Amino acid sequence: MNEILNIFLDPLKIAGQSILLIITYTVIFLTIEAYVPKFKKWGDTLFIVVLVLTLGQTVMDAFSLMKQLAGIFSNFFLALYPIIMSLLVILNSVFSFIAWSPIIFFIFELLILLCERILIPAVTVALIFDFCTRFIGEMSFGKASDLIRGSVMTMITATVIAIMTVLSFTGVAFFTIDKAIADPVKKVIEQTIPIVGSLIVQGFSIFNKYQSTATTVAGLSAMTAFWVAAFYPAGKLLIHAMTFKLLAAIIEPFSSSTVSGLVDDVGKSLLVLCAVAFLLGIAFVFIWLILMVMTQLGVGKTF
Amino acid sequence: MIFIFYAVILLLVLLLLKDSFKKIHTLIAIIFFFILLHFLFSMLVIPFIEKLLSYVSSVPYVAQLVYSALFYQLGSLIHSIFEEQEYESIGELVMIAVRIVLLTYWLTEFATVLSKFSSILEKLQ
Repeated sequence: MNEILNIFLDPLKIAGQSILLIITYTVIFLTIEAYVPKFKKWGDTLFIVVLVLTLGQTVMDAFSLMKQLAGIFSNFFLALYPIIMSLLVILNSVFSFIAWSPIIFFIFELLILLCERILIPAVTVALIFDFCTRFIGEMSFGKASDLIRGSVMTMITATVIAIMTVLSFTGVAFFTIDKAIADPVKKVIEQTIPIVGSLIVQGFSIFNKYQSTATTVAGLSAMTAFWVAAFYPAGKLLIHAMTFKLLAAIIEPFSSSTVSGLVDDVGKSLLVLCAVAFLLGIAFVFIWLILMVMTQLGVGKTF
Repeated sequence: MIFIFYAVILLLVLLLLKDSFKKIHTLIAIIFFFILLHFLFSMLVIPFIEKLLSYVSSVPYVAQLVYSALFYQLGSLIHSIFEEQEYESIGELVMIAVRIVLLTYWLTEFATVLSKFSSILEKLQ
């Protein structure tokens, strides 16, 4: 039980730790500036160095997590395609029901490709650009890094819209929960979590159809485990990203705009990673649910 | 407070010396500077830093930061002595040495991050 709790507490611990660290550093730098005023120019640079040294590990962790995630999901999808395809062929009657699934697989594969080949290098380059912008001063790469982040986000959003379009054509995505309850909840989630909020909400509405069937097959605890496993990395990345955003807000009044801007940029880049991790999680759960529904249909159960 | 009394007494002695023994006045002034510096460090600066560091003992890099600020301040004090004697270029050399020492120290701390950065560049190629 402790280990499971630790899984959830660790990212929060890291978040709290880095917030406390940054507050301490801010106080220390203010003290140093009070007793050695000439050190201010050095202090600003050293502040960035210390930030990179203490928070760099978190960023590196986020990137390696994303990389692992993309690797795991691409292996997982590759392994499952033959199974799902053969099931599709065997269960002829089901074919009309999930006629769109090849397109879905294509889109998921595109998503994986996007992650492995484009996303991580692009976000890394954006981070390096941000760093150069803040450190060099006279030269600004701010537009370039914004462009990179923006285009990566656009590609991801396009993929999501593609998924949603395909699903709504076939009429699979609809709500079984009472609309009166669901809509306000959707709105709240959309507004509180920037960028990725609407993705999560869309994901929820897709799964509602299949959720009840799958629960009867796998049991509630197994389904919970699936959901947690699918969205844990994304949640962790979201906590990391939010930590950086919060840090930028905390240190903005006390330090130069350079430092808080850099931290804020790192937060933005991590949010992009987080959005992609959410999408991968949705794809993961989706494949599992399709598999379960098809098994059910295979044994002759009807909806 | 005691330190201010010391400084004032030494100032008086220096003024006295300036009138009577003009020739060795600057020599004595430099000796007094180092005596005062010693007092300042042993009475105020070092205890203050120790107290400060004891509060934040678990936070990494704080000691390094504080001591590099102290080192920089020491360098600029010595720089100003040279300037007083109108040896500005030697003072500038002292400051360059201080900067190089600080940079070297922080570069070694930063080295792991730099090597990670260069490994990212390798992956991008």
